[in-house]
Amino acid sequence: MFTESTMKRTLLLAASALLFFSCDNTTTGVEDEPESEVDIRTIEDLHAPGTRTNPAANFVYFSLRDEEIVAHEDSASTNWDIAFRGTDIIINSGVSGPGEAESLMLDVPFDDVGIAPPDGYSVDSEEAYAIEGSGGWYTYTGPQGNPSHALIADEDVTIVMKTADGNHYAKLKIISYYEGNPDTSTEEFANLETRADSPYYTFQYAIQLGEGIREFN
Amino acid sequence: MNRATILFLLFSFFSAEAGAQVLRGTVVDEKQEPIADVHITVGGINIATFSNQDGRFELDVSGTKPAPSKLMITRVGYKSEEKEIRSHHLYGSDMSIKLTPEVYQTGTMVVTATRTRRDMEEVGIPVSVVAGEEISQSGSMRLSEVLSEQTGMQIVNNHGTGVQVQGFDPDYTLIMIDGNPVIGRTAGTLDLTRISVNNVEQVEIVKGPSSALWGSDALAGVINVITEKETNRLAGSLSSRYGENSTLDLNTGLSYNTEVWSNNLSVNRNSSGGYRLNPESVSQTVPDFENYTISYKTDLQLGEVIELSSDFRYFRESQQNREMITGNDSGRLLATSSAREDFFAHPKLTYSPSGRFSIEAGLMSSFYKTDNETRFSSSGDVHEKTQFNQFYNKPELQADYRWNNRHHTIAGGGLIFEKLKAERYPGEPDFTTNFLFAQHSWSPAERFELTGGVRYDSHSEYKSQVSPKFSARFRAAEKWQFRVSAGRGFKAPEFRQLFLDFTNTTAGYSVFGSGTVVEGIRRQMNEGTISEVLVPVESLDEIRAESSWAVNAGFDYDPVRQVRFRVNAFRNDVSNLIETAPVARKENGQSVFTYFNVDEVISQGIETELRLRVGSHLTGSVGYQFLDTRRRIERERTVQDDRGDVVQRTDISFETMFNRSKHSGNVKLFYEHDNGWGATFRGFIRGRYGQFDQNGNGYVDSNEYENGYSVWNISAKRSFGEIVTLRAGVDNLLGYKNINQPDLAGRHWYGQLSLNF
Repeated sequence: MFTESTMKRTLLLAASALLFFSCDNTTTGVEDEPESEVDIRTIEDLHAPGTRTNPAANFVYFSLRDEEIVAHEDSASTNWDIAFRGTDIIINSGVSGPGEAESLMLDVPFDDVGIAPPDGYSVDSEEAYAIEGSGGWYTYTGPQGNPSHALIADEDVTIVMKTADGNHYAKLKIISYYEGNPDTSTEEFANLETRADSPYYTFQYAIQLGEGIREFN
Repeated sequence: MNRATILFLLFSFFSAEAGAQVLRGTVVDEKQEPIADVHITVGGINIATFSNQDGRFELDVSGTKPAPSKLMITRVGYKSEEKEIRSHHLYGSDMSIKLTPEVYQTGTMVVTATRTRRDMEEVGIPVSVVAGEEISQSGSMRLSEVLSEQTGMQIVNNHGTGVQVQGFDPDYTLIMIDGNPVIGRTAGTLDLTRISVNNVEQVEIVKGPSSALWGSDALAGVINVITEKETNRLAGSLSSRYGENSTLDLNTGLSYNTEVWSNNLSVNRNSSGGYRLNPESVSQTVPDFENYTISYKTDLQLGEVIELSSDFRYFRESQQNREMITGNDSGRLLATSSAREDFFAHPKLTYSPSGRFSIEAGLMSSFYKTDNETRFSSSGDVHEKTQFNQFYNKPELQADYRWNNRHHTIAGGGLIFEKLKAERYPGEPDFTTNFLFAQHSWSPAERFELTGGVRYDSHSEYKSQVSPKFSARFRAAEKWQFRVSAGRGFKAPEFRQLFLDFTNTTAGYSVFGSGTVVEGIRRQMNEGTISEVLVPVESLDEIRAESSWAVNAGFDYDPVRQVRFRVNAFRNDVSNLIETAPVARKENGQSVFTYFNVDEVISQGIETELRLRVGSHLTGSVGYQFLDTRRRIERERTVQDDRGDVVQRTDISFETMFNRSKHSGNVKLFYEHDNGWGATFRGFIRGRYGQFDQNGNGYVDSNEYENGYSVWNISAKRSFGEIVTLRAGVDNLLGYKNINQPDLAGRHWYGQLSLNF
């Protein structure tokens, strides 16, 4: 049953919607509405060495739109959306690049994010990257953990972002930091001698090809 | 009229002249053991008394009318008796009364449940007792070994070996020796290896909050070690045990008793070469150590109604270890030597003008000291030296009054003075607690008893505490007895939570106790190191003790006389657990922390135990505990609303805590033959438990469990006559090792020779 106030609000919404559509029709007429098309892609073992193993290591740049690695020479362009180096993940905006990428992190499983939030996004700054590492997309198990010294991607964290051209919404989930996306509960993984190499990113993302559409369904 | 009657009349006449006709006697059981607390009334006259600990009673029946003809003798757990009063009984001849038990009867007296000596069958709260005989049969040396084999108790290691009771950390169980609280906890744990169990009469275990009687720390329960009190005129014992890791335990007991004066002395020396569970570490897991315990207990009867008694204990342990420096100066080797001591003395005066009334006044004085020194192995120069001194003094008064066989009251009060001297507590803080307590037991009918008690603790540094407790016992049928109790327990904030004044010189953060934070922030503001105050510290609530409300309910079922099945279900709701949180930001980017009452925990479960005796040589038991302990977890989540907007949400849930096993149990078998042979077989099983918080979310995730384990101990003995006993055994037969459980270091064999004279 509606209460009086919700009823009023509903009427008001309906009225304003009518008003909106009527205006729209009178000014521009029916235009090419962007069509919703969502692509879900999984990238396996993207190798992105950190500065600890190689002090001169560069970020590995990646285009979500084109589903491919972008050459380092193109790092000053808007061709790339996201880049990886060791545990650091940057996006193409703010202090990291010339693009208009923005991101936020949700404590919601990947499949449950049906729509990108309208606002609340941030860009990389001097103080912090928009994509938070430890306590963000991963948990470090430390010396006493079992497995110890392991970087475990958080199952329930989803990164939502806009691409560098500012036109597309994407959601992204890091699956593994280790080569071959190994089962982290095995003896083989627990043993530092036999553990798979890192950093090899395996991640899944969904990109909305329709410009400006926030829905992921 | 026969001669006896004439004689009787004659004597009555003279006695009346002399002024006294007193009935005296002793109440014993089938084994001629005295029974205390037997209610004895004179038929038809309102005169009654109770038998004392020796089963003795006295009734003044001078001038009563009509002349006393019979005694009604009643006691819970025994069949009621009537005894005819013969004339000679009125003139000094002792009456001997024998009672036969109604049902399964242990005859075990306990003090921990009610602060008075009561039969454990009669109290409304669940008490379990480990008999001294069981301890010596098991070949146990320290209290931790004894408790590890008890149902619902889990030995855990954190800055010492402590015991988890009903899912609570060791911090929340009060440990006493002869009713004297043992002080000296490190990070909340009172190291149970400090307490020798040689010359122990019994260990009493009360689970559930008992602050109504015992005050702070009795939140999860109370463990009271009752030392032996010999009754023979002269008795002595010598025991020597040697085992794995050069573990040597030497013990001697000596007692001398006269009608009015009793003395019990026990001296123990315990040492070990220690051992290493991590072969790569330079430090030993358990360092080599050597300790001495001296305890002495004396009673002096000053006339009929006054008794002077005193307990003393002194313990000293020294240990040596090595460690490697990490951080600055990394890799340099250090030699550490540390010593710890504890002491108490408790003289007490008891005045019992009648069988119904007694009053006792005591003064307990206690201290705990640690002394640690580390030196560079290469140069011998001192690297660090720390000392910690804690003093605890408690004058206390307790009165005990039995109105009749239905009502029994105790009441008392006292003061506790405590003082600290240690590097991290500048200004040598001292503090006082005043307390008052009262308890009344009412048994409206023979099968039914209600007890209510309350204690008030007023402390100089934190909010006053009122701790009530109610319990009820109901014998529904001969084979069934039910118990229900509910009460509150509390734990005083620890010293660091009250008085800490600590700034980490390398990292730059500060931590203050609740009593030092206002002054500390003011000081740092004057020094200009505070950039922002996050919480106005002046307006903070006064810190409260951690507290819990709990209910325990269960029953004893005795299908046949040799079998007892006990069930107890419990639920504890714990609140105000103390945690740190930042109160100010410093110029260096670090925070200032202090302590807050924030956390909540729920701990619930069921404990069951089956005890049985087969024939006259074999006793055994099987115990099991189901435990569910959860901590309140608040999680800030970034999620979306219906329209997809980002919103912050706080999820609150109760999640499983670390180091708690849902399932645990034990099996014990004791065989003792008259021919001198004996053997034991004991084991405990611990189900899987959360070991380490890998993802830092504060609770156990499905991948954070450690497998359970079991530990099995066996021993065999042979006595030669009354004097010599040889014993050999193997503890931890399967050789279980766990680096996080230093008390479980693999198979451990030992041999023991005991002499009793």
